[in-house]
Amino acid sequence: MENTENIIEFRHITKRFPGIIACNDISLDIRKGEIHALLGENGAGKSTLMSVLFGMYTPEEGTISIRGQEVKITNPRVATELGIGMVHQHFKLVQNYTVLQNIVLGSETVKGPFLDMDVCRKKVVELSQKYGLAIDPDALIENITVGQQQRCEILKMLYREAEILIFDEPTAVLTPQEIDELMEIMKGLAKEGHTILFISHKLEEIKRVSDRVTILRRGKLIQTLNAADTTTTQMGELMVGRSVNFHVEKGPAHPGEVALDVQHLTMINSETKKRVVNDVSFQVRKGEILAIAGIDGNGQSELIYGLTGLMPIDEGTIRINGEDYTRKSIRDRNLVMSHIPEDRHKFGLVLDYPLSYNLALKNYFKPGFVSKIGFLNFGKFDSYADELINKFDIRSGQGKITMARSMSGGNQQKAIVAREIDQGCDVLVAVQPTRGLDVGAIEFIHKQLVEQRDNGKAVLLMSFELDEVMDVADRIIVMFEGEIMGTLDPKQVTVEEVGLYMAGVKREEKK
Amino acid sequence: MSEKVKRKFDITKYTGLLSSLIAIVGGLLVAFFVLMITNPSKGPIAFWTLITGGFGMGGIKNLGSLFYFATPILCTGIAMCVAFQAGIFNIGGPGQYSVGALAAILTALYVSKDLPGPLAWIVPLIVSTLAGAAWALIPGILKAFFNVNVVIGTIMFNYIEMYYMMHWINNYCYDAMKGQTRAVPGSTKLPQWFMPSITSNKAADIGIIIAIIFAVLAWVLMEKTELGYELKACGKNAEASRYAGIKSKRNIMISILLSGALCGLGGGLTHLSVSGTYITMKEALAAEGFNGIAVACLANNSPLGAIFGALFLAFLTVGGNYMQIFGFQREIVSVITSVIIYFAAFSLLLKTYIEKLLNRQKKEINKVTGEELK
Ligand SMILES: Nc1ncnc2c1ncn2[C@@H]1O[C@H](COP(=O)(O)OP(=O)(O)OP(=O)(O)O)[C@@H](O)[C@H]1O
Ligand SMILES: [Mg+2]
Repeated sequence: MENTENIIEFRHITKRFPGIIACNDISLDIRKGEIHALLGENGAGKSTLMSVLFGMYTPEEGTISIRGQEVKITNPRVATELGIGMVHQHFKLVQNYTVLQNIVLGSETVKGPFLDMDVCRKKVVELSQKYGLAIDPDALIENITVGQQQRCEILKMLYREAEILIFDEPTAVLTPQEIDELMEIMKGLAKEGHTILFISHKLEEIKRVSDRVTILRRGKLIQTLNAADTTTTQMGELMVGRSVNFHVEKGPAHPGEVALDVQHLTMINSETKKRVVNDVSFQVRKGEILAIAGIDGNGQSELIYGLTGLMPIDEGTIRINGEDYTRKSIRDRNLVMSHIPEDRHKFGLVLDYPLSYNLALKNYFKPGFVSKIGFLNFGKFDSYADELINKFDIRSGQGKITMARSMSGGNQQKAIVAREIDQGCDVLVAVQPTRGLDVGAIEFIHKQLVEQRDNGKAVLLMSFELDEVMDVADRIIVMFEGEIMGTLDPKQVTVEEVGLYMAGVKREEKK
Repeated sequence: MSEKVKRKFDITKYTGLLSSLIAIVGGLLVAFFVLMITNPSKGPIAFWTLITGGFGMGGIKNLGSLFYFATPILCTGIAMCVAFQAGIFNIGGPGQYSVGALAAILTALYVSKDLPGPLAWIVPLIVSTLAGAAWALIPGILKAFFNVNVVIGTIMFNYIEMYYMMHWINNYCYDAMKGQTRAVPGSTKLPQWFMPSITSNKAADIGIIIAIIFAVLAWVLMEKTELGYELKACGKNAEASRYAGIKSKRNIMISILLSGALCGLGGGLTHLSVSGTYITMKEALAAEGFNGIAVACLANNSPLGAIFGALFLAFLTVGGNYMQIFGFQREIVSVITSVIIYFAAFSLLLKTYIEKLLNRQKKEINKVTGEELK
């Protein structure tokens, strides 16, 4: 490790936003060919620091040197010329273009006035073979999985001959299998001489793949460590400033009466005519947490959308507290069932509304928030927002008046979780509730879910993370190709066993 | 910490205003350029007249004309603000405006002229408002229930209106001698109250006051009420609104009907004006409808901002009326307005650019007050 040359040198980088110093006097060296992880709480300034390197923000103070030369990276184009590429947490792909078109978009090879797609295609295929990025160049983006979209983004960087690769929370959207593949890809890239900067909240991942790790807290650089010399516990402590309990503490569940009763639910994709949810029946009782496990794309998302009314269902019934909700409106469902949605930008937030408006998204029409003749009570909006901000430690530059768009990804997620948990509905549907959260926040949210359960709420948890499912749930149902493969008790089964159900290898006998 | 930030004057919050100003200056520069290449010797004086709204020549009397021209485009301007904020790109302004105008004229001629007191003009105004809304109804239904693009729906209705209108005028209110619609009876014209005395213009009426009242009402609706919260949420993120249980179909209907109603009101106010406005038989869409888009752009879709946007464009129109004195066509004003629309359409781009510039300047300031934010 010693005596390696630095490819990037950050010197005294400071970047301010209204009300907050996102990066505070950060000096950091990145060595050529290393995988360097950035770790820190939600809102610590990781994305901001990387955006500065990629030319999306200009820092107020400080300098950056690339390959020993001081440079001014005023916009992403300059960054690209310097050989820097970035995969954003929310991909920037054109949905109805093919993979190949997306990759070459903006840096096409031309022959006279015409595009020379053959040359482009050859280069893309070569790259994808070299780095094991299996992908169909002619598939439309809208038809491929998130993992494949990410490969497309990686190829886009490599196609532009990027040497320094930035990944902002690349694993938050991936399934465990895809994560393993990505780790291999990253190691391969580093071996070929690429330098990788990598943001993640998952400590094991960082330990597994990175050479060094830098910890940020509230805009300040705390420490840079060799990944091999540290433990996940130590990393967790350094980033949060206290010791973190990775294991969920909970007593036994005391299930009461049935709150959510789903019978023979079937949903058919109108285009492919496939039964994406096929005759699914289950019940969630008050005082228990039922988790849905499964590999992404096996009908779990559709099942949740059908339950919450965001997608139409074809057959079956949904009962809540004994009442038939199959045909009820979304508003009616919202009154008895809260929902932490899978896609926070699409459903969870109005990004151009301030935080206080977003926290009131499910309440603004209720007494107290609005007068009888329809005037909003902003005093109530504000006090309610302050209450949730304090309770859930939602961090942002300007508190309740901050635009949701300018909040860090994890804090956006915390805002949604806060709003939905605080609804106090009998049924809480939580889809990937801790996606993008730091370990401290995850611990807190898990505690909240258990507390909801102990207060007699029925919690339906959907997560792709098996650890979360095993830790938090009282019962697990596993979905495979739209069907329920079995109902399992997390205390009785091993992770491996659940994996077999998820892969469709094992199936419970039908009673 | 946030307290401190609030107290400090933060110019980055005003980039919307700045981009409007840049749009205006850009438009005026182009106007100057056009005037200069058409007639270099008269160019400067004509430009001066234009940007002083002709007040140098016509004096305070021009205030009456200013209000007269501002009234219709203020109404269509607020209409567009409401629709755009709700994410509905209503460009059926011309049709909705003209239908409102015709409805007001017909009601005045046939129904309300003998009604007692203020009812004589209030009733046609109400009818014009309803007519404007009615003209937006079908494009609204097409959008809400059949997901037909609003732009296409409303444009289609502009043309239907244009041709159908001639038929109605011809049969019911045509003054063949003058080649335009008949004058509305005196009793149905808008009252004048104190307006003539403050504008020293005998024909000034309360049209502008009514329009401003509606601008304030629209602002209150959008900013302070539950309905406004829902409409804006739909405009900013339709999916999240659905998730929150907001009925999107209902809100599409409400916003487009409100928008149509305000356009119709504009037509009514203008055609019941004391100075008298008539519809002529020509195949053209009412410019007032489209100018509402410019007003909304200048106003950043805020109904209160629309008051200033409308007054500004009217100010140029008044100045433009003097252009003929210097041998220019008065259409020069349309040129400027269009340029402003283009510039305003780029205002988003401008906004980000200005933000960058300001950030660079802030760097300097921060060097001095570096510690303050901590
Ligand atoms: N464009 C912006 N405008 C205003 N404030 C911003 C902007 N971008 C980020 N911030 C603020 O800067 C701080 C750091 O944000 P950043 O996105 O870098 O956090 P992060 O470390 O990536 O967190 P997370 O793990 O939640 O993604 C946050 O408090 C955020 O509110
Ligand atoms: Mg981030």
